[in-house]
Amino acid sequence: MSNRNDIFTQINNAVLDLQAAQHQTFERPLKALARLLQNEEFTPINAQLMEGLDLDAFLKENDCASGMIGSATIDWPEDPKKSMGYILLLIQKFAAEPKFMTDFGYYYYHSDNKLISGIRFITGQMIIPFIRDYKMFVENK
Amino acid sequence: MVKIQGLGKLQRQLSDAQKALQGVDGELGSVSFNPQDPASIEAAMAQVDAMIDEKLGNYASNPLIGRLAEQMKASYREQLLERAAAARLEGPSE
Repeated sequence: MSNRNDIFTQINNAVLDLQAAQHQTFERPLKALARLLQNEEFTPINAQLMEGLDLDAFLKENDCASGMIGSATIDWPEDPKKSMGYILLLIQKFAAEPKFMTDFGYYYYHSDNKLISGIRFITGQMIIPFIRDYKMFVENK
Repeated sequence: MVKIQGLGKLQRQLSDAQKALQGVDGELGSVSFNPQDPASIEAAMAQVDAMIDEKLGNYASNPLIGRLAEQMKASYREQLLERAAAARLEGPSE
C-alpha cells in the first residue's frame, strides 16, 4: 500500500510539472506520468480498464480533421471505466508521440494560436480529472 | 482628398476599452487553493477566468477587450502557477 502511495505522490508531482510546463518542457513530465501509470503495481487494474478497447478505432470514430479546429468534441463512452481506459491509452500515446498530443489539443481544445494552450487544456480537462478518478478506482480495489 | 472612414467605431471601441480597464483596475478578487493539488490549482484558475469574464463580460463583443481578457487570463494563470510552485517549495506552514 505504501508503494502505491509513493507512486501516487510521484504521479501527482508529474501532473504538477505538466500543468506548469511550457511547450519546450512538457515532454519530460508527460513521459514520467506515462511510465508511472505503467508501474507493475497497476498492471491488473490497467488491464481491466483497457480490456477490449481499440484506441485507433476510437480516434477514427472521433476524427474531426475536416471539422472546425477547436470546436470538435470527443464522444466519450458512457461507461466511466471505458472512458478511463481510453484516457490511459491516450496518455501512453501522448508520451510515445508528443506531437500527437499537440495535434490532439489543437483539434479538440484549440483556444488560441499557442501550441501550449492545447496541452494545458488536455492536462486540465482530461488528465487531472482522470488521475483523481484513477486513484479512487485503484484505492477501491 | 482621402476620406478616412471607421474612426467612429474605433473611438467607441477605445472608449469602451477604457471603461473596461477601469473596471479591472485594483483587486480582481481572491482565490484559495491547495498548492499540492493540481485539481485545486485548476479550479482556482477557472475561478480567476470567471472573475475576468464577469468584469469584462459587458464588453465581450469589443475585439480590443477580447484580446485583453485572454492576456489577463494567461498572465493570472502564470502568476497562480508561480505562487503554487513557491508555496510547494516553502512546504506546509506550521
